Amino acid sequence: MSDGHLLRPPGARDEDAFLRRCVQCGRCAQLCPFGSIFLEAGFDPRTCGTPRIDPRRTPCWLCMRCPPACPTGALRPVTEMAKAAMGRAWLDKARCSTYEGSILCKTCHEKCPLRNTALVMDMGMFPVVTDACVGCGVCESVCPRQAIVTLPRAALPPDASGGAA
Amino acid sequence: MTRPPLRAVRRAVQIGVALVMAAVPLANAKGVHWISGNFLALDVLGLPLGDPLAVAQVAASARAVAWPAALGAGLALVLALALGPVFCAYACPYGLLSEWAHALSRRLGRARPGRFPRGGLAARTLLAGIGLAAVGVLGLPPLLNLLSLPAAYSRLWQHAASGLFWLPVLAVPALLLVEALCGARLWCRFVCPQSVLLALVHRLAAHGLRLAFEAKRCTCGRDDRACLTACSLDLDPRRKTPSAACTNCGDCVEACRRRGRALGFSLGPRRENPGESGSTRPAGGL
Repeated sequence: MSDGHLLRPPGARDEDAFLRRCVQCGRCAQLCPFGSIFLEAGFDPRTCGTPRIDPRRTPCWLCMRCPPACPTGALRPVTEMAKAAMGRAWLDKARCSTYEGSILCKTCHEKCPLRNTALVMDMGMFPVVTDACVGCGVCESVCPRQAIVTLPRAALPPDASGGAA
Repeated sequence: MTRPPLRAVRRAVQIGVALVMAAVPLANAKGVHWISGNFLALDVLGLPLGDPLAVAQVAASARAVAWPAALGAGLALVLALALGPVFCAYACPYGLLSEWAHALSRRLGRARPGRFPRGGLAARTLLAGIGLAAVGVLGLPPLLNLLSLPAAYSRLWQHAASGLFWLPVLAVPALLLVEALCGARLWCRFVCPQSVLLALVHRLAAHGLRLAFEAKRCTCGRDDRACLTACSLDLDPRRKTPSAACTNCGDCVEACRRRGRALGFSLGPRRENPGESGSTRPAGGL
């Protein structure tokens, strides 16, 4: 899915710079009102204790409270949802019930915090993820068919911005 | 007037810190936000406090000053400049556990002063130096944080608040067992890199809270030394210049209270001339 890359909280610097700066204090996770951020508990010494988000567990609702709380600037202090730059959602049309033609489902569009910019409805019906998607993972968490995967920015090809301005 | 023994005050502070830090992640989840973070970077009522070594690693690796964590590290260093590495004796939860393990090994008769070489601070400094250099040169994440046992303590509760169990924390009871069997606080003495900057900055300070030994009041013999047995870090308190590894825990002062009261704390300069008494007078209990 994401080749071991972790979905970072909003405002995270590029993975390498992020890892160099994050002191693993966990403030972002502690201050998240939704419990979306948790600390990586694995044995990898590089990433152990760093914050991540698992959209299938709890997505990021882009309240943007964590970036200013970061004491080291590992998360840039952005407060605009559109600049969260976490990653990008990827929609598997073969699994989406609308594309499949079975049910007209608009769940992802209705729940997207950046509705109509990050996720638009083609012909008023078919969900399309745009370059404005920041990868919060809300659509992935609400999709009844698990047709959406959120790719962390580190897992995206270099030309994809993941919502970075 | 009897003052409460310093030891009891210190224990109360240690246990209080451990309880508060365990409660922080859960309290945060319940909407209490005046305190957040862990032992690596803490925020109390908007005041940052942090581990200087963590900030030093970020500075070395990212070649940037990490605000406001750097301010928090600076405050910790100022505190250490004035009071010495008191974090180790009064706040560190691993220090508390390690002291308990040491007390147990004393009871079992396994603690023998002088079994392990002195000069643990040099070993710790070497480890911290090599680690910091490696992190800086290779551009690594702050890997020395993995050796921070107070951070491991915090992390256990941080993971618990998200419903996870942090498996590596099981190394801590194993370490405590080794320490109890060896009868020496090996980690605090020879490994902990986090204590190095705190100790070194105090060593550089001209003035600051230090142990003061007044030789002429000492009533103990050369080999009968209550203070040496009392020091869980196996330091010799009867020195003109206190050891840089001393954490000002006051256990030796407490032991000396029942003897000649030759040990106390002073805010005097680091090197004291034994000829001039004035500033060398121990300040009593604390």
